[in-house]
Amino acid sequence: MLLEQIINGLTIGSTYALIAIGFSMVFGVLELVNFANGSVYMLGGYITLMVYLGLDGHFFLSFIISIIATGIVGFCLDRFGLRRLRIKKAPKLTGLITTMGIATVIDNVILLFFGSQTKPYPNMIDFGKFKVGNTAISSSQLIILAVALLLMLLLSLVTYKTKFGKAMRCTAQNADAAKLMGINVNLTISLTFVIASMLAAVAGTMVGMYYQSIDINMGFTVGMKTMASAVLGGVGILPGAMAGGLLVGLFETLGASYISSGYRDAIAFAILILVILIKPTGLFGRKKINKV
Amino acid sequence: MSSVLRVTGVTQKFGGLKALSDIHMHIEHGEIVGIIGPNGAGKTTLFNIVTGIYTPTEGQIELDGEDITGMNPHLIARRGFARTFQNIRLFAKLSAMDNVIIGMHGHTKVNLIDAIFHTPRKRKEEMECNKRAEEILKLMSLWDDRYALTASLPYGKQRRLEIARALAANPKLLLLDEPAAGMNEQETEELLHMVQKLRDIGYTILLIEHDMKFVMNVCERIYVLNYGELLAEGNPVTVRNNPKVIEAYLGKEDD
Amino acid sequence: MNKILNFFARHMNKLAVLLVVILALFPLLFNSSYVLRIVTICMMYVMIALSLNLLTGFLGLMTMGHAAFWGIGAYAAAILSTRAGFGMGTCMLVAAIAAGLFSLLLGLPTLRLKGYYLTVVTLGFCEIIRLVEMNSMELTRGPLGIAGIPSPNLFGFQFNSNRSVFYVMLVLVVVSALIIHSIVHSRIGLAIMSIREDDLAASAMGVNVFLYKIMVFIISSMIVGVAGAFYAHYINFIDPSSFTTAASMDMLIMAILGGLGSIPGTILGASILTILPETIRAMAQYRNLAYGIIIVILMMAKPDGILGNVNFKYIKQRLTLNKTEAKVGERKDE
Repeated sequence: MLLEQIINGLTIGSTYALIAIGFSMVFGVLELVNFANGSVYMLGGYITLMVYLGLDGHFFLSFIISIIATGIVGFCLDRFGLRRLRIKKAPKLTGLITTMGIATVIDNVILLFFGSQTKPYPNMIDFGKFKVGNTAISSSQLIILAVALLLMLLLSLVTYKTKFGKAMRCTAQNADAAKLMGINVNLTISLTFVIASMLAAVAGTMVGMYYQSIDINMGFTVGMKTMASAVLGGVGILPGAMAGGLLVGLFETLGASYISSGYRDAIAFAILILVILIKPTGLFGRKKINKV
Repeated sequence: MSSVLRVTGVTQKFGGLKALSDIHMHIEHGEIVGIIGPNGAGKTTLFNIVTGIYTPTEGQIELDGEDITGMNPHLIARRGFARTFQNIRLFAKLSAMDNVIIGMHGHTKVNLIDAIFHTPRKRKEEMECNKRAEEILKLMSLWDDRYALTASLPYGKQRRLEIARALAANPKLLLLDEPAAGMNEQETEELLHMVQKLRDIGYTILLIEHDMKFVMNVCERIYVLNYGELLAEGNPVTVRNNPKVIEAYLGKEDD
Repeated sequence: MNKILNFFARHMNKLAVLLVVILALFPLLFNSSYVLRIVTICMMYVMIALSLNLLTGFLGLMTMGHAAFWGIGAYAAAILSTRAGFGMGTCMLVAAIAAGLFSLLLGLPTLRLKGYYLTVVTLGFCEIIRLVEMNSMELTRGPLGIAGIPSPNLFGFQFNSNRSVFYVMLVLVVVSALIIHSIVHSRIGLAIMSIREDDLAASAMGVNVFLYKIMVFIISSMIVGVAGAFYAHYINFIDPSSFTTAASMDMLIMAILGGLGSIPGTILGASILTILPETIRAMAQYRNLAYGIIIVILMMAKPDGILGNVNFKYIKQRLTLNKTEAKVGERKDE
């Protein structure tokens, strides 16, 4: 029973991890808290559903279209929104508020299109349950865990082994120096948004399938939780976001079943506060030396 | 009478890196003392320790006989230290006048209740602060720019403003971190006269500088740091001719 | 544009008095209960936004927990008045103290944290408080909320009509604005702003940074707590759904839109954001969407907020400087 709960927790935690990674990457290159991340996550799930219903089948195709569409949304968000603010040398707070506004816009567009009722979601990865010893694990869980793991590995590869990844890391550390080294900083930032959005879309669709439903409150709640996950893992740090997401998912599930479900949504923040109080830079964070 | 500043056996380690080793230093009232050394020698680290930003791994700092080692920066500031920074750290969105007034913060007594109720005590103190700010701005030739935003001032004036802000606290010891950095010949010359004028008024000054001409002309005593160690100490002539100092700056002569 | 700003700078105090007088006469001229209610709510949000602006605009700390303290104040007033029958005055006092205490508890461990960490932790605090409100049936009656909160009553006087409640709120917002204005325009205000600009340099100037952070945090929380108490007495019913992180965000947007670090700006911004949605009431379902779009457009057009870069104090000082120089110039010509 405990093992099953752990698997539940890790499954949902791996989706949190994907979203948190995107959030963390954007923070890394821009030092921006992206409040629209949660909305994009929800958008991804809804677009998959919409295209699937529209095409009357072809789930995998719908999934791909959704990923591309959300990627485009993410790109536009930066290219036409945040980049303007960077050019104007706007304070960081303005960017944050702008992402809040964009989140509101996305949430309300979805509301207007789909209505406020919870919609059923097809589960394309339901191939039954398997038994490993005494524990039951469903195919959905296995596939979600596998996909998430694969994506995390892929991302680590991209970040640490490719030229683009290097560009991202350089931009995160010192954007001006990166520019002088010939790195196209603006493009790097926009592409980071694209990746973050696509990850969110994958997570959104997978969560929709897992719970076989989708509703318009998903974005906000999960947005907050993944923000907490990224920060508790050490904001801007890839393994931190992964660890944070998994931890939150795990403790949330365990906490809800063994302590109380009323406080479920607060568990993410409770963990965050605890971690931050003990290690102010997050689990994997390093202390930034203040050069005077 | 005790030294204005006495540094005894200060060692500073950052993890595995030893930034300073066993530094001994003293500054007497009314002196202008300079610290020189190649980049990375630990000069600013020493300033940061003396002003409380870092706590030394070993050693002791005494201000006017009182042990201030490891004290919070704001408490040290209130005891009579004032400093400028290597990279100018003015309050950008505030006016020149307001910057100088904040410099006096450590010595003002007005509290929250006074502020909310505009008590006579608050008004009196405000008048005194404004008067002193005026004196200092005029001394540093910044009076005409008093309402300008610091961000809009040219570089040379910003440096002068930082010094003005430090003076506002009427410090027992004024620490200047590379005050001549980025200045041309004429500006450096003006700064030189200004520092000498300050000494004549009665301020005690400890400064870090790279500009040799400036240091040799204005300082009475000089400490030379290299790789965190005290290499030499003495008056300008002694230091200039010290073979170890020459070697540190110019490299060893080929035999 | 400059001429308009100069005019405002020169006559700011008189204009402020004029505004208060207009507001005081407002209920006598307009009898529509709808209009009175809108302006009353607007004044409450101005009070809330001003308190947040003190913390975020002047001190530079971006917190997302402001709605939690609003809620703590509201619940304190609601519980006290419905269970112990205390009048509004006592309720507001207790609300302020409760909000202040919670902010002290939250502030002590968290105000040492860097910018974005503080933001997310306060976000978490807001959510946790809301869930506590949701789940403590005995104290707060959970999701049912507390109903039947009496209208404002002070020393036996019952403020029942829209008009009388309007005046209660007017007094509250004017007092809050005066307090915040006095703080900001004193040397304490300078110290606060110096922390925002460069907290390291501020401490090198003798400013006890941590103490000031706690102090401002407590003051801003106490003010919004009193606003919460008013809210409880005004709407006569509260439940946890008003005190969400989304509400904190709305408050932040109000403070920022008008211009951080600008009292007139905050008043303007909060007013616009309260009144504007009412004018597009016709298309109710598009209201929130329009709200989001307005925010994005305004932030892109004026990244520092409407009055973000305008410092009336400095403008006035420079004007008097130019005037004296002109006078000296005249004398020289004579």
